Amino acid sequence: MSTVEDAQATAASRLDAVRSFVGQHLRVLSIAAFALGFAGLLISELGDVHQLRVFAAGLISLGGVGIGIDTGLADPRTLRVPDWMRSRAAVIGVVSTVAAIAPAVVALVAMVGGINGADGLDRSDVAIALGLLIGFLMLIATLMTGGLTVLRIVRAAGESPADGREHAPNGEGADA
Amino acid sequence: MIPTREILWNIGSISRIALLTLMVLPFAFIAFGLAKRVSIWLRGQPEDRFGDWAVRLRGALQKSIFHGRIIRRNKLYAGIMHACLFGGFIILFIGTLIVATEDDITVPLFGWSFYNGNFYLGYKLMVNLGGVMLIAGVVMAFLRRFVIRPIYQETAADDLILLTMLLVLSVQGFVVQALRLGVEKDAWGAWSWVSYPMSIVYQGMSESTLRDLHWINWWGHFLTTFVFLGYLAYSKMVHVFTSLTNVFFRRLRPMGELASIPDLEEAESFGIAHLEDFSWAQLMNVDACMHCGRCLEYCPTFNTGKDLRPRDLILEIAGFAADNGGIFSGEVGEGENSARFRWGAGPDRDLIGDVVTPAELWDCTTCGACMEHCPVYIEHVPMIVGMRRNLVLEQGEFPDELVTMFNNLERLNSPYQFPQNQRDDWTRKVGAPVPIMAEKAAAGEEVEVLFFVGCLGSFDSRSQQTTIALTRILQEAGINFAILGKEETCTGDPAKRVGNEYLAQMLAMQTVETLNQYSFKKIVTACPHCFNAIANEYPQIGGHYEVVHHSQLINQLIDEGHIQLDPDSAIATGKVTYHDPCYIGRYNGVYDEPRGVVNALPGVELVEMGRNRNKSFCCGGGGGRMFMEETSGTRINQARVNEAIDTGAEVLCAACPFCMTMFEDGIRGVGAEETFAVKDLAELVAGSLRTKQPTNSATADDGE
Repeated sequence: MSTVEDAQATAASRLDAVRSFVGQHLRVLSIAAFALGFAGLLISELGDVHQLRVFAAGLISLGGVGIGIDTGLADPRTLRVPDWMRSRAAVIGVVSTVAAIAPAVVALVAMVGGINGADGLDRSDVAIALGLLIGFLMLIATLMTGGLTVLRIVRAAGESPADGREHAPNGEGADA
Repeated sequence: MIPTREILWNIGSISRIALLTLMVLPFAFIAFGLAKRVSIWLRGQPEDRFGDWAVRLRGALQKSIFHGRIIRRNKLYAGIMHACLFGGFIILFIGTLIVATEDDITVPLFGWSFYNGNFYLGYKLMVNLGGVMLIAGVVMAFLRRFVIRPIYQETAADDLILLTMLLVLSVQGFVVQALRLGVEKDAWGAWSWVSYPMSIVYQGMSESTLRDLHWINWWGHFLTTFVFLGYLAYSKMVHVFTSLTNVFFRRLRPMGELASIPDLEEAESFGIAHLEDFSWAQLMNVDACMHCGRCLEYCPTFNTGKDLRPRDLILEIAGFAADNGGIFSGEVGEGENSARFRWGAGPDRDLIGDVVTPAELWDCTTCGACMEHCPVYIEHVPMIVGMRRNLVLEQGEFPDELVTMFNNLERLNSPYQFPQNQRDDWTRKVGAPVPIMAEKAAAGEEVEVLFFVGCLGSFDSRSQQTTIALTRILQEAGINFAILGKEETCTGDPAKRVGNEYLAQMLAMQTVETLNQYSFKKIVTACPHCFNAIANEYPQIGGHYEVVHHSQLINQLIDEGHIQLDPDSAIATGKVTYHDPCYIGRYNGVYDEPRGVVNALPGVELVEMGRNRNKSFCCGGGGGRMFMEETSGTRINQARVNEAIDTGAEVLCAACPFCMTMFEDGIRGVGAEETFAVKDLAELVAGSLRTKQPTNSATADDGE
């Protein structure tokens, strides 16, 4: 074999070795990456070494991706989290929706408090009206979409999967 | 003063640490979900979807990223809605990346700041536009789901959760921006053209209140983002990844080509009965579905109230795959009609029977409307035929009516109960001798065109009229043609579409063997099913021929002046409507030539049905359905005939013997025999021919 081929073969075998090592120790490596990233982040933010931040964030993200892949490729039947989440999907859905819209709703409603406050400000009535209108439209959109979503989740949660399969399609789109 | 802003204004170091640390969660959730899906795909059978990378990449960019297959002329509302959602999200995503690049990379590492001046002002302009687009898209989506309500649209909680999250993300962004501006009062604040007016209202509030509200909403914004990203891989939003991947790895072969079972003699199992029997690409297909329902819009079974709904079939399989792969399904569906509702019913189910019912599988007419209109290139028909193959070849479970067809095909080489030696009996009804290929070859004579008649054209008395008409046209045009006569056999298409691959391959090989004995330039056929089989499927087994549909040839003959049409002898005048057969239309893109012929007919005005060209509505006869009873819902052929009658036309022009048969039945079914008729394109042309030679038209038209 030529020197070039030798070098290629060596590089390939090293790559395989690295791949195999990462595959076998993905979980440990991922947790280590996360821990290292977290430590780097602490140093970056508390020690004002901001050059570290992007690397720390990268390691944290890589750790997350590694943990996800490692557990994702595990035997599905040994995973209880998906079952747990599925059984509580409705509660999780409602809580997430309400928690997501609540701060924005509070802030939008609070705009009312800004209409007449702070004397001495040079604010045009048109600008205030426009701001209120935009805020109002956003509030309505947020409440309506959030409300419809919660209602739909609650309604769906009251139905059992078995009902669905039993129900033959009714041809709602029938030409007749 | 240079326009810019302090990044993470009002946010302390601890919050920044918490934010970046919490990033582990969305990344882990996305990676978990995608790894699960990929591991499910890898359980599928191998299929070559590699190569032609440039074509794949171009298609993915054009059709997905730039919405080429999402925004369509008749889908402007939905297309614009999706473009707003997609565009808005992308703009905001890029906006976030820009801020992160400034704050985490260029400033700390290189001491270089670009997030200021005109760039910053342009950025603000664009990010506000992105937010408005996102809100507009969500509002349009809600209007569509709750006000417009297309019949094929299904709304499950999952859809609304995602839309609400998108809207809230945008609203939170505007609120956070307005609250900061309310305190900072930037001189260039107006460049944030949506949040600036809001900030003017906020200026009337105390700074501490604004700072508190800002902090809460900033956290709300990022937590919502993280939840949204974490949920991404478990909801229909996974199509962000899977649809793009699916379009990239789409099948580049002709749409009408059904892959054969390789090494049929050696195979130990047939067709699809388990998840592992699908190819990896088919398993990716089901994950790519974004539930839009476009596959239903022109689906003959959905529109006539039958069991099969292509979208639900895909979603049933997707749910089953998710259950097998242990993926948490975010779908909280609606019980009555939602396939998604059944997600989570568990992995211990039979694919055929529990997940997909045989009734659904046998309903399909293989018209291809679902595939044609799917924005992400999901291929429903090959999956359905794959499962039919298992029912037929392994389980021996198929509709009783097919027993006769299989027997006939095996014994007589035709789905009909006519002996092989009667195949050319129709030639006696033509006024002039019809050349036979074997005789021509024996005499050492060259043949330019082989007229492949097909089984219906040979045996069915109604379709024989088309055959005779086409023969007259060929003779009139002086074409040097011949038929196979008694040597002709079924192409195998009906057997292939119902899943009897063994029989289909046998017939196909027999036909190829016959065809390969002779020398000719091209094949013409009046049967789109024969056309599709010969053009798209025979190359798999060594049959490479130039084949044209009779509508293409006739159009060419008219264009080139080889035949002249006489207004005085026209058999149809007034309004004529044309029905696009699925197997030359959608499957092979032949739309203009038949219309060219109709438009050339003297005294005829072509009026289009609402569903035409690639939106054409099936006659109900494809996929072996012509040989089966139609027992549920309304009749597909009658639905189409009624649509044709509604155009005000008196003649429905067909270009397929299957369609012809279905429409003859349909016309009788709706009781319109006296006022409405179906004619093949060739009949209309032959009836208008200005003859150069005397022909026995009375014989040709008697139908027997």
